[in-house]
Amino acid sequence: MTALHSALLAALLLGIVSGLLGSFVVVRRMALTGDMLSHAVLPGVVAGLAWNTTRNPLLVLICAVLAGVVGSVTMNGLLRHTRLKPDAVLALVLSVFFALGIAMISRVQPAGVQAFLYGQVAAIDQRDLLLLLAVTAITVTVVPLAFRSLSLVSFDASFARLLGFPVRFFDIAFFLLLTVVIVIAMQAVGVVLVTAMLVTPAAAARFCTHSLAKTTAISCAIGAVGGIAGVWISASRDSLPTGPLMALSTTLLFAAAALLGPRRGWLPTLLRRRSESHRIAGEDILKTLWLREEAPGLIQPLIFKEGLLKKLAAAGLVHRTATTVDLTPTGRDRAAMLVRSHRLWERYLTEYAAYKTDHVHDDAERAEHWIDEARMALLATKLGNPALDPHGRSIPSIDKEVNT
Amino acid sequence: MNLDFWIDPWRSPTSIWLVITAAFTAIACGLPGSFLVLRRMSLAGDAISHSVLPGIVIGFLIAGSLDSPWLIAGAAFTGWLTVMIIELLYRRGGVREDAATGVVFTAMFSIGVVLLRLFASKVDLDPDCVLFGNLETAIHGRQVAIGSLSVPTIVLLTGSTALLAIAFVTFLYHRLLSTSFDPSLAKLTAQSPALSQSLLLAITAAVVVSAFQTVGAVMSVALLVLPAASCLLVTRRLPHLLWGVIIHGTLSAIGGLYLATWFNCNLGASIILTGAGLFFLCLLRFKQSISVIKPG
Repeated sequence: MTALHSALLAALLLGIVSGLLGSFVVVRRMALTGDMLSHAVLPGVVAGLAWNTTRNPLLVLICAVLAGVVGSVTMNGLLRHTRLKPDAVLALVLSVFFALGIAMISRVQPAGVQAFLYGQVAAIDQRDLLLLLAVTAITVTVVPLAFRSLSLVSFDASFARLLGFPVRFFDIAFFLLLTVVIVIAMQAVGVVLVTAMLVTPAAAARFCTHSLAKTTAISCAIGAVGGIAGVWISASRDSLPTGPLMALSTTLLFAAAALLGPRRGWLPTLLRRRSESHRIAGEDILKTLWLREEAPGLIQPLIFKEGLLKKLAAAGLVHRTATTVDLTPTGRDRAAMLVRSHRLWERYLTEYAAYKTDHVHDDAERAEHWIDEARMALLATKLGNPALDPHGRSIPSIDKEVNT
Repeated sequence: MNLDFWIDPWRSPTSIWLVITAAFTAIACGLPGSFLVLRRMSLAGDAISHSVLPGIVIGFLIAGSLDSPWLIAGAAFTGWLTVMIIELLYRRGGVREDAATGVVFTAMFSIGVVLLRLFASKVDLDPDCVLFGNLETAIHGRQVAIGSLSVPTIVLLTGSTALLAIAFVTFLYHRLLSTSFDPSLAKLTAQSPALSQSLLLAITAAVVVSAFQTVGAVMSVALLVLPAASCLLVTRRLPHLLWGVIIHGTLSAIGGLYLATWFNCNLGASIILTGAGLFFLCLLRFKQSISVIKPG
């Protein structure tokens, strides 16, 4: 196996495992706790490296995890016993533990600490790779198996506790796994950029989907692709450091997700909003035409947008000549439904929400676009199929429209 | 206990400059840092301290030296930009604030490191500086003669940022006070909270740049947060807090020198660890229930 191959393999495994854990980190709002941990383990790493000269990765890992435990115990203690706010405590523990690590480094100068500070995928050797492989295997089997419990504990810890879940056990297990992954990731990307490996893929995945299961899958994929791309670019351009390139290519994927992600991306949201506002404007036109038919005496000049009218005509809802616009039978049915939901809603507000009759129109004007068939039927039964709205105008019924 | 033990650290002629520079840096960071802590924006300080790096590199490429106002301008800009992108992602993109912070500051830091490596031949900036700071070398840099005294430029640089921070806190005291504690009242009295916040962030970026050579990017977070956090344990008044920050900074600098000499370790880290020791003392000695710090 060449150096490039092992670097690529390390990036792939790291991307998968950090993407997987990262989605839980983001959901639990622990992004900066992860940042704190990556700095807090440094004294442990230095102690581990100074202690055993053979640089046994397992021993370094154990020391690092111990330091991580001390860091988070300190943080929880300060949070509990002082009035300092979480942000200040986090920043404080992070920087002081890091300073301790730096002081130890400058005093003992252990070999191999550079990889932990700046990240060096090339420095990941066979033993590290085996460790990484084991951690990935464990994570990839355990997380899907415990997925339901994990997501319950992550989203609603109090509810999980009420149900009798061992929340503390889950928390501690998650924390230990996270620390292990952070220590391994440090060697690839350096102390500062561990956060990028953990948080960026998951934050990108949140733009794409609502479901946690899909989030974890997408986040793994983004982490792996970003990591491999970083290693590949840095292999082709000698002078560039791998860690920052891995972080930057993952960030590029994040930017792409932020722009194009189907769930909350900029462009899909924009398109969705536009089509909704067109639908609403079109429905308003249909309704206005219907109201003109209902009270023909009331002749007022009507001004509509040309583009919207074209769309409605194309959909077969209105009939246009050079000077007039009229509803087609289908258009009339649609408009009647809108008016029906509007007037039912007004009726509902006066009867059940104690609105004054002169206050209900504006609310119904918005609600009419969102009340679907099923809800209309529910409203009608609940109100006892009323014939009149609060203003005394008749509520168009479904049957009447079919008959005419 | 012999006296030499206490005098030894001061034997070197540069010691006094080291302590003065460190104290200036600690004071410069501590003052805006207090307002960051009070506004619960410590992590914005963390983000800024990492994301000034690309600004520093770009400023260096323009100006060609480490002690030029371009560096401060560049860093202030990238620091401000980072917080703006975080806010954008948070308010418009629906990304949670902590996740947004994590994404943006690591990206900015990576850009900085890549730029640093790309222009390694042109930018004479020690990569170690990013994580450690390197005060001992910085002090041996260029010297400026003031009267008969030859003063290292780094002393002047950190001194002027300390003055800037002091001026910032003095002149904008009431504005900062009202916008920190009661943004609605501040808005009613035409003191824009957004403007104060932008100013605070820009000043933070500027002081972080000066701390960059002293303690490095990561540990400058400690200089921002530690003094205020220590003083918040013992006082409930803002003026006391600010004076306490100055005392804390000075003591950290002096103690840092001793620690660095005795244990023969990195000066920047020693300053932070002394500060942490002072924090611990505050915690032990004055552990009392403090509800909310009171203005005035």
